[in-house]
Amino acid sequence: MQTYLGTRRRWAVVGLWLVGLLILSACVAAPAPAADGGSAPAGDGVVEIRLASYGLGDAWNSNLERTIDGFREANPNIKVKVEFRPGDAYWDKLQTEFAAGTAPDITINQMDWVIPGAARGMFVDLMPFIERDQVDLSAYFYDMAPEWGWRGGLYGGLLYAGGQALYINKDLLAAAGLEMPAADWTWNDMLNYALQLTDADSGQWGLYISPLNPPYWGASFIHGAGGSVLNADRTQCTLTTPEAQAGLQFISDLIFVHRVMPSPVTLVGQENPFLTGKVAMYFGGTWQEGQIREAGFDWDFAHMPAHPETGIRSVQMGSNAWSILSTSTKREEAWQLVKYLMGEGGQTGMMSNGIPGLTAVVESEAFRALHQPQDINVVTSDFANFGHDYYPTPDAGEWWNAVGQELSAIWSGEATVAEATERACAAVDEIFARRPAEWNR
Amino acid sequence: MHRFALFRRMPGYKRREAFEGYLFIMPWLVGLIAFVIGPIVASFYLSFTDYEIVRSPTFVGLRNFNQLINDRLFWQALRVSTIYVFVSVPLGLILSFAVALLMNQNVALIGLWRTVYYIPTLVPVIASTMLWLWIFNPEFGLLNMLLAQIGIKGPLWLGHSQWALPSLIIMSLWTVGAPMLIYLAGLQGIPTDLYEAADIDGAGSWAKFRNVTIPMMTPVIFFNLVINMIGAFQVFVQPFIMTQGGPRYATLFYVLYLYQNAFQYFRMGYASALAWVLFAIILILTALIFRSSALWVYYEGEVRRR
Amino acid sequence: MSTPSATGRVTYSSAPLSQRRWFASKRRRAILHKLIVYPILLAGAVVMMIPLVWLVSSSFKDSGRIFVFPPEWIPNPWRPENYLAVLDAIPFMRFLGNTVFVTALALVGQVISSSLVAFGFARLSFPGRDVLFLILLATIMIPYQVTLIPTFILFRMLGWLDTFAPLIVPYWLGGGAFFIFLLRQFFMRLPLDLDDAGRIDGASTFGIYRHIILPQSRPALGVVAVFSFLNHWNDFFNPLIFLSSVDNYTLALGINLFRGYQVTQWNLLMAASVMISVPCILLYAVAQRYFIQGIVFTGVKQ
Repeated sequence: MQTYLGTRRRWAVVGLWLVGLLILSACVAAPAPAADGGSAPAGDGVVEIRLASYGLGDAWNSNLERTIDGFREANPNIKVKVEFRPGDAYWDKLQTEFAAGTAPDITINQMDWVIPGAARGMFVDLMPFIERDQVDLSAYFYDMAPEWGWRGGLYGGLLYAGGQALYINKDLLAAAGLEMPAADWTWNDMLNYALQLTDADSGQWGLYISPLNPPYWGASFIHGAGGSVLNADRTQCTLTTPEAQAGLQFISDLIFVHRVMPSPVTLVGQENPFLTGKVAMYFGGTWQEGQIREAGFDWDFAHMPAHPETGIRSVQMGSNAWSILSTSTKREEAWQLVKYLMGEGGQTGMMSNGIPGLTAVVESEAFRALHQPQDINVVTSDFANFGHDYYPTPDAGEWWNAVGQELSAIWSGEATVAEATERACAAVDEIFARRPAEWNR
Repeated sequence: MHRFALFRRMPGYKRREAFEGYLFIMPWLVGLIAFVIGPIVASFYLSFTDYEIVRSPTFVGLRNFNQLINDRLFWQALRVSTIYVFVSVPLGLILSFAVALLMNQNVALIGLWRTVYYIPTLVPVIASTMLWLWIFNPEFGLLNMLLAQIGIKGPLWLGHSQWALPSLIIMSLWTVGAPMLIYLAGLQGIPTDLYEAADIDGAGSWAKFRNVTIPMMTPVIFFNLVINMIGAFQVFVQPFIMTQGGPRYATLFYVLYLYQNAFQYFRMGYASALAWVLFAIILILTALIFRSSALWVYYEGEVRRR
Repeated sequence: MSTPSATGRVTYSSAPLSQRRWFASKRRRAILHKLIVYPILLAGAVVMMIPLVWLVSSSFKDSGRIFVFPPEWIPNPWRPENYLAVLDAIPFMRFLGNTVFVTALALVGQVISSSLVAFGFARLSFPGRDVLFLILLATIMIPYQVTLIPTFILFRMLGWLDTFAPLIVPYWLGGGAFFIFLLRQFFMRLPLDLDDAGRIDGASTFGIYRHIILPQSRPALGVVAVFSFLNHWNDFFNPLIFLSSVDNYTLALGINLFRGYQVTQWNLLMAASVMISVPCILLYAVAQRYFIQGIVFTGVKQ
């Protein structure tokens, strides 16, 4: 039968449990060799800085390490620790670390974070460093100020440029007996192409636009029709103007009237249909080029079509940047690394992963060779001539979401363009009404 | 003071039991004080501040709570979560109980069945949500293909503001593994002599189910009800991955909206206020369930009985 | 918060049948029973298996073939090398070691501490017990999103960031109100006569906990162990927030390195997911038979 513990032994068990707990907490807390926040100088005047990024695949990660090796060789007194993190919840973790004072010195940065963070003092203004070191900003074909500028300051150094690109499946084009479109083609030409390339029976679509909602590619049709998403001061929603509505109506007609484009809601969870050869013309992101190259059909870049009446062509562009966190105690060393990454070393090193911003690198044979047989200058020249930013504001995440929520009702057929834009603008203006006074320029 | 006086007036064995009671809950008390109370108190304070995370909080009194009353999206989020809780929790409880009964049958390969029915809970969330995106796809999805077989044109599911929330409710019913397992453990704990006594009395299956199984299971049903209610109010991952709250805020679950405020819109103070309002709602509902439990939950080992 | 008083003993209404008729009808009903139960079981099983089949099938596909609709259940081309690529891309064995270490220690702590605390709440009476229990429940009613930053700052002050301590120590200190509540419910179902009999035999309170209540609660403890294992094994969020060196990553966190912002290596993510979840499934299949014995509906143990 069972034996029961006596009073003293009962105490002994509880005591043992407590002692075990203490030892355990000491043990598990012990393996703490890794950096806990701002790590101390590594001795002999060597300073360690931490750079954090979300991982973007092995090739990307190792390319970044290789690029930074160039900096390490030139700067033996600066030790760089690269921390790759999951893309999921990257921004949440960064804010949490920032609040606790353990954030890295440098972070990868993107459109919906840069200005919101900068307006709240999260990032260091690079302009004083740029002026002091006389970095020549005119050497960049890609203008950084509209995207990372806030109140005359600049809060990111270019990682690489990116944005909208028009991809054409040449196999489908040839099957329909069509040539690649001319550089000066219009929306009407594009619609004609799309009608000829759509074959409902075999599930083949003329064109596809994704991601669609502004500030993504839908915005370029709004601009083409002469409209805009926000006014020039970024203080008011302008989607309800007839021009903006006409741009959205054009897309809506592609789906519901001409039936040359699948509605985004019917593609939920599905592989991009351009990659599976079901779409002839695709407005996508420059970051998809690698996947398209591996998709196994002949393709090419095309120029953005112009609106037949306004003559306007517009492409959306958004880039990635490196930003220095304002909690960093090693700003000078961090700046040296950012300067290297936005300069020739970094732009050349990362050019296999994105579009460099330095004119000399973009036009270099080495960069163009990476994209052959296609001509990447079709994309970069459209960026340089017709590029439009993502309307970054300190409240970007919030109003982008509101616009997407309301406009999605157009694509599901639940609302007309007029209804959806009315509601979108009401929501955006409500968000803008909450802005602190100092945000309105 | 009063409490200590009460403690001293207890008879010796009572005092000893009380002392031992504190001893047993000591690990939790220590953890509560060390890790839990501090952050909770901090979040309570933050609900009265304007806190952007990357800047220091500034005290604003009741402003967050006033703002909340006029916030259209707060009411929408509350509406979405309330509908979800009141539909998915009862359905889930019934379904998981039915599956648990099925898993408690005398059938061949019972271990295999039990494993298979638990698999949805074991598959990583990211894989199962991607799969559900296919099931709900209007063109090629499993659901609409089945509906087409019987001549019905299926809806847009996640793409339509009327259907998106029902879609997520349907999806929630599929992961009944956790409450099912708890029910199953509960069914195991019913003393067999109760059934034997019922057999001797000649009770049929239904009578045994009604008069033995159900009363003995009420503490477990009670547990699943409370826990699933709390859990359903805090649903976050599925709408975050699958719909981002859309279309047109149809799946803006309460905690998703809270999260957006906290980490995407730099309004941690406001998010804390949202959290404490949710806390109050859950607390009231839990208290109601606890009050009602006197009427329907049967504890064999009720300590108060002494 | 009130706890209910005991209702009366259960009563039975059906009239007794003669032994022979009872057996005859029992056999007939058993066949009928099978005819109903198996088709239901099978249909349900197919629905439950779809995600696993899809996951495994996806793990052998080319990245671009995973979200092709309708799904291709047989991979073409067949890419078993995805599994090798996972081992190349991340330090899988290192992550596995970290995961096993964290899961094992957290699990043991959680089972021991939650059963101790639950025993205190369920079987002993002391002043303030009901209020404390309400506080226990209240702690899980606050969304973690708003306590995250204070918790993070707390662990930073303790010097625990980038260590396993935040993933283990709280679970030795009753961490998991869910489990305490669960075990309390199960402990409260056991008749108090058990405790009284133990005391007459001279058992201490700890003895009653250890030798009477725990053995009687094996199914519930099994459920706690399974849930605790799965929680810690699959936990993505806590390691994400509290760990920063890749060397300290757990598997659930490590495989998310395949997810970037615009690019996800789905084939590798799926292969790694299979490598993580299949052990869980096997472990569950083995474990469940130890804590759930088959009981037929009539109440006779198999």
